[in-house]
Amino acid sequence: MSGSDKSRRPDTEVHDEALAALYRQAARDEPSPRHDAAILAAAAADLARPASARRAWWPRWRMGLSLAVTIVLSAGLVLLVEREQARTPAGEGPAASRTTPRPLGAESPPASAAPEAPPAPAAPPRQETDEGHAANSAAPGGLSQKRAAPRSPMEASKARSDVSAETPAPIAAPRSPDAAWEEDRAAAPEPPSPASKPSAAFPGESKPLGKAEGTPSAVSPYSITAPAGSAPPSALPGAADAPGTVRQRGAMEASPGAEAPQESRDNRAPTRGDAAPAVAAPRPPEVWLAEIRSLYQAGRDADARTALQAFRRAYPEQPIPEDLRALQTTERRMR
Amino acid sequence: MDAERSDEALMCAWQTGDGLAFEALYGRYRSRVFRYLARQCPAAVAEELSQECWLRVIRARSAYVVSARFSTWIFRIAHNLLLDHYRRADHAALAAFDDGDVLQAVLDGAPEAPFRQPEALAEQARLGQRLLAAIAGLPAPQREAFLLQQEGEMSIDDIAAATGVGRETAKSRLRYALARLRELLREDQP
Repeated sequence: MSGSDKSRRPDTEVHDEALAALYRQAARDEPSPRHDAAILAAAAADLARPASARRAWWPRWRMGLSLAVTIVLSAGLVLLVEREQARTPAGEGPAASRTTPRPLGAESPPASAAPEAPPAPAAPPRQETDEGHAANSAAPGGLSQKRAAPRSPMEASKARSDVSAETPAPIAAPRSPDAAWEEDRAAAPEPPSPASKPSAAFPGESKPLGKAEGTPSAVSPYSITAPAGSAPPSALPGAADAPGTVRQRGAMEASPGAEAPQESRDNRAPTRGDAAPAVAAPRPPEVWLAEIRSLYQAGRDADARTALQAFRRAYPEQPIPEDLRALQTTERRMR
Repeated sequence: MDAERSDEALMCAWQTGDGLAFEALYGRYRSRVFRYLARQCPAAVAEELSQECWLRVIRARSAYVVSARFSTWIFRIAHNLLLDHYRRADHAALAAFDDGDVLQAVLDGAPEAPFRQPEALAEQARLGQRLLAAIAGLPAPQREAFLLQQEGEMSIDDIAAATGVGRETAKSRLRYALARLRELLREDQP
C-alpha cells in the first residue's frame, strides 16, 4: 500500500470496521496468471515501441491537413467571388439589375403592389392632354428603361407620385401627420420661389406640371376644390384619375368638421383667378402656419381661413398661433 | 523503494520508461480492480473488463497527467467499463444506477443493528460467504460504493469522483449499502 493510501482514513460516519474485516477475509479473488501476463506484456510492448510509432497518425498530419483545408476554402471563396463578378456587368449594381426588368410601379415598397392593383380608369381628356403620362402608362417598357438609369431623389419622388396616382389610395387607413407629410412631400413639388408665390394660393398648388416630363404629380388628398375653370384638365391629372383622391376629398367634405357648402363657395370665389386654387398638401405645421400667416397679412382672408381649416384638419392637435386666432374667430362667426 | 512511492509517482516514472514502476503499480491494484469488477459481474466478464481497464491505463501512458489520485482514475475507468457492460448485457443493473433513489427509499426503514462478530473461525468463513452473497444482492450503485470503499480504499469524495455523482449521493449509497449488509447478516444469525 502506498504512503498516500495509508494516510487516507475511511469516513467514520459511513464505515463499519467489522464488515470491512469480514469482507477482506472473504474476498480473496485474484486475476488469473494469464491476465497478469497479458497486461505486463502489453506494458512492456508499449515501452518498447518508439515514441513516434505510439503517436497517432492524425497529430502528425494535423498541420498539413488544416493547411490544405484552408487553401481549398480560400480558393473556393475567390472563385465564387470572381464568378459572381463576371455574372454582374460592370457598373450595374444589384439594384439596377433588379429594377431593369420590372414594370412601372414596382420600385418603391409602398407601390410594390401596383402591378397587381387594378389599373385606374384613365380619363380620356387626361390621356389626350397629359401625353407624357399617357406615354408612360402605355409604354411601361420605355419608362422602365428610363428608370434603370440612376435617378436623383427628386425624380424618384416623382416616380412614386406617379405610382400613387395610378393606384387607388388607401382611404380608410389613417395617416399620422408625419407620415402624411412624408408621403405628400414626395408627391408634391418643391415649394415655389417667392416670385411664383403670388400666382398660387399655396406653394403646393402651383405644380410645375408642364416641366415635369409630362409626369403628373398626385394632387394632395387634402385638396378641397378644383374648379373646372380654374385650371386646365391637364393641370390636375392625378386628381382626375386617382380614385383615392376623389374619394378622400368626398370623405373630407362629409366629415363633421368639414366646412359647409356655403363656406366652400366663399372660399372658392377668390381663388378662381389664381393659377392653382385649392389648399395645398399638408406640410410641416410651422411651414404651413407661416404660409397662412403670409396669406392673412396679404389681406387674403378667405384663403387664409380655408388654409387654416385645412391645417386644423391635418393637425388637430397643433395649437393655432395667437395672431391667426382672429381667423378662427371670424370663421366661427361666419358659421 | 517502490513501496514508498505514491501511485502517481509510479505512474510518472513509468511514463518516462521505468518498466518496474508499472509492475509495482500493477501489483498494488491488480486484485483490487479485479475484485471490484468480479463482485459486480460474472468472473469471466470481470477478467475481461479488468484486462481492458489495464490496457487503457497502458495506452494512456504518454498522455497521463496527475490531476487526481491514481486510484480514483483507475476505478473510474473500471466503473465506465462496467457501465458499458451493463449497457450491453444487463439493463436492469444499469437502470438501478439511474434509479438509485428508489432503491434507497426501499431501504429507508432498515434499522442499523450492531454487527456481532462471530466467535468461531468456521462461523466467520460462513459469514464471509454470506457477506459476499449479500454484496451481490445489493443494488448496483450501493454495491459499487461499498466495493470502492473496500477495494479502492476510497473516501466518500473519491467515490463520488470515481462514479461521477455528488458527495451526498455517494454517501447515501454507501450508508444504505452498509445498513443493508448489516441487516442481511443479522438475519443470518441463528
